[in-house]
Amino acid sequence: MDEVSLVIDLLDNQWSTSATTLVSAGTINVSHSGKPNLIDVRSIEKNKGVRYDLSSKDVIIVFEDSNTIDYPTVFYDVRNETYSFTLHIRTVQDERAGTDADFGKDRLRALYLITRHAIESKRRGYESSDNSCFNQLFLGARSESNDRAKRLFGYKLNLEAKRFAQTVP
Amino acid sequence: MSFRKATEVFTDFLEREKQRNIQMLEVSRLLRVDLTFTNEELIKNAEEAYIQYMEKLIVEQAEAVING
Repeated sequence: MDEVSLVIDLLDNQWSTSATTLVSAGTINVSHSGKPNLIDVRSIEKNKGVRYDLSSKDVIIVFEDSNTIDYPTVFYDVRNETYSFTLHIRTVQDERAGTDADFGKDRLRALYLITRHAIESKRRGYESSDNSCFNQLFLGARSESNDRAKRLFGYKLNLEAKRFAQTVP
Repeated sequence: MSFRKATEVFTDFLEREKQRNIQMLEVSRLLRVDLTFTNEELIKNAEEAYIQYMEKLIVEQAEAVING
């Protein structure tokens, strides 16, 4: 599994657990705990729209920004890999809001908190079903990305993931 | 880094953001919600990426100087 898919796999698998934990703790409202569309834009093809839950107007889109590799030993026989990602969380204040003027704001907060919880719960490593893994995951800077004209609320998050001591064949 | 090189690097980041916005447009069509970035957001995202790049470059160059 490639790295962007691995980040999406992590969020997909951890979402329910993290959402339940935060709802139980009273941190977020249960109405905001639904899973958004987790999207790897590279895999978008025509006629694949059915893959997405069109009733959910929330998305988390993952982009890979960079990858660096170090060979820290004298014989260069292992490598450490560092990946940098940008996660765009975006949600719309639409008919779901009803009379709740703060729906979009609260929904965005919940999406962020669940995402953060999911990533932090796997900060010391995540392994997918096909044995792809990261050894460390750290959430970085967050910046707001709102668009009043479109009634769109968003956060842009930086995520850094590392793999250590990968054997060089 | 020369001004010309710095401009080229920023232009590359801006181009990357434009490409991402095209992909966001595709997602928007599928979801029937406009999730695309505004021009201001595009520039802001490119600026943030550029700042991160420059910070990393400065640290690397400073370490190279310190370590001789």
